Amino acid sequence: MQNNIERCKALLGTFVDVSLSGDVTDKELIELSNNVFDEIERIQKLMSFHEPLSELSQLNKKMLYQVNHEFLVSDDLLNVLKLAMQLFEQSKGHYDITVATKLVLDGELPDHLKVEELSMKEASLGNSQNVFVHKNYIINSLPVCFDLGGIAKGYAVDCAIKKIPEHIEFIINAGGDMAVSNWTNHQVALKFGINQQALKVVRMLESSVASSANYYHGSRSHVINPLKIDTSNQGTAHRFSGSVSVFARNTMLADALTKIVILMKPKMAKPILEYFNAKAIVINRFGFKRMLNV
Amino acid sequence: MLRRNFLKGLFFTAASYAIPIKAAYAKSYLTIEQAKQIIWPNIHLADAAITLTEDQAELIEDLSDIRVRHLTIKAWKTSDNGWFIVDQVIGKHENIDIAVGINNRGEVTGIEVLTYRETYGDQIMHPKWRAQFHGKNSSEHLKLDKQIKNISGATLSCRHVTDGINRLTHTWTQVLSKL
Repeated sequence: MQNNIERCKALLGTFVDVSLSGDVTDKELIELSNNVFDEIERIQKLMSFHEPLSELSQLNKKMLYQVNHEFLVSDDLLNVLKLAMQLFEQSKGHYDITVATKLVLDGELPDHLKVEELSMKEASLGNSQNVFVHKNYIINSLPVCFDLGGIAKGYAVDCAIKKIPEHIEFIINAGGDMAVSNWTNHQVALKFGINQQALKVVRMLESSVASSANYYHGSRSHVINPLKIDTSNQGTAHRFSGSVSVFARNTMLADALTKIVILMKPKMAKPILEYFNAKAIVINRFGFKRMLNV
Repeated sequence: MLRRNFLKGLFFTAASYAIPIKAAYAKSYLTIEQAKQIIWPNIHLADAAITLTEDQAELIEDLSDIRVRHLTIKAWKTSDNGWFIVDQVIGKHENIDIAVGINNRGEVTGIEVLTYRETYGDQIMHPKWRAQFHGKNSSEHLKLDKQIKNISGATLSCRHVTDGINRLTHTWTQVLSKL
């Protein structure tokens, strides 16, 4: 007999919603959902910028104060950094996880790495152009630090679904970054404004979807255009209204590609979506949608 | 065609602002009984509701820097002085019921979101709006079509839950640990 459980926890800085169903007992569903949350928590502990003891923070600390060294990273961190570097290349610098320094200086991220102090002393901080990945090592030629806020949530969802056996159906939604089993049978409501009726219901176009929007941030934008960062670090937040949703074969990719669709002109973003066989739906604040590569 | 769509969009946008919306999107997860079983499996919990004094509430507010909205705390206790607390967290865009387990050393052993209600604007600041949820099951609120199980949208911060937990750990230190 079909049984189900739906749980929600505060993780990854947002709300993670886990829904599992299958021909199993309540006890098994609780155990499976515990495994899913444990896996998400494991990734959070590795990749949190806010947590000074996370692997990411430890790496950031080294990269900000030492250059031309080889820093060994875990397989998980490597998976995320490899995609981030690939997207940096393909987007011609529009997607850049080194915007962390700007986010710290803007007060959007905590300054436990003393970035502000360093930015006063250093003539220039680097970007992803100054970062090289070799086997399990990261090498940087200028001081940099990474923020994985626009990619790690998706990766956490991808890791979590590997913990779910094939006979269990699932929906995992980490603050809008979502993966579902049997995706062809599902619909999703894309939220494009703060109003409760600002929802566009569409069918799932792939197994994962991620959305980015600014409506919870008021007039401020949390999306930084890395190509517009000047020496005074002024005026680089990219203002946009409505929302951008990307459907892709995995959630990490969907998560990261939303930023590319926001920051690049549709003509430039489309070949990247095509390369990854991903699809985007851009909805403006009036509810009009535009499809990219659909 | 484009013009017609634009006018349609304009009309619905205007209508959504003009018509007052009293219902809230809500989603229920575990019941209190299910959350008890997950946080304290196979352990008997005795009803131990608490009412804070004004002084205690003030002290907790000072220590946690978080407002104490209710003096009464829905709480249950294990025979080993562990606690199970059901609390309400109010943020700018959300109103959430959480269940929290705290062991006899003051460590948080589990946190579960029981009900999530989305809000917008200044709706949440009105006591009348908040009062509609007290003692009600979330099934009474507006729900999406049954087929639409999920919403993908902007990432909502869970900072208010973290703040709520901080308030409860101070409540344990100042009050519950001494009971």
